[in-house]
Amino acid sequence: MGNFELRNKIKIQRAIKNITQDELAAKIGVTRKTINTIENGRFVPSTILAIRLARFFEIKVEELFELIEK
Amino acid sequence: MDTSLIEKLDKSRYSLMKWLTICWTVWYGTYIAKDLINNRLINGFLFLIGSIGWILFTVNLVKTIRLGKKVKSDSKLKEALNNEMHQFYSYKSFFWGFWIVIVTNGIFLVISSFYQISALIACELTLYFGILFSFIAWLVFNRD
Repeated sequence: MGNFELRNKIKIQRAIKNITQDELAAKIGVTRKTINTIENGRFVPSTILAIRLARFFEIKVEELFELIEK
Repeated sequence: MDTSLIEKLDKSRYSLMKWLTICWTVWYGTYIAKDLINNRLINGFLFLIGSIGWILFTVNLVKTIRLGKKVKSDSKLKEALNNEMHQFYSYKSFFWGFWIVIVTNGIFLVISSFYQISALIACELTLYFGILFSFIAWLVFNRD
């Protein structure tokens, strides 16, 4: 998105909850590849998926995803 | 949801797409090459290789359709394996295929100003590269 970069804390939150990408994918109902690409910043999730991830980790979307101006 | 089943099906899908790409390259590539080469021995060899490619392509295509039906029959599997990322990458792959078709046509148009090109060869090559690059783009976007 031009001058913006979306960073996320999925890896940190996974470590807190002690779950693997595989387990998170199953809980959210997506493939592990989807979680992997979001976690590495290769794919920007939709609002729905972002909210579902935040809800799973019991934090706000803004806490899970951070929009950084380059 | 069973994670191992989703992973297994996702890997199967990737593997099938990889085989479809290889078989398409071999089958249609040799099919086009036959029209360009005027040697009976080489053409016979190309026909043999192409036939194997066509058989394998058909087998993998049937497997892909069966996998698609299996995924469609289960709503949770469908949601997991056909989620927004996979849909986005599929559209992006078609987009790449479309641009390759346009570029290939453009190249033929420029060449036709200087040389006479067979319409059949131009159509075959356009189709070949369009589909091939769609497959390759899909594999690149969906790599692990």
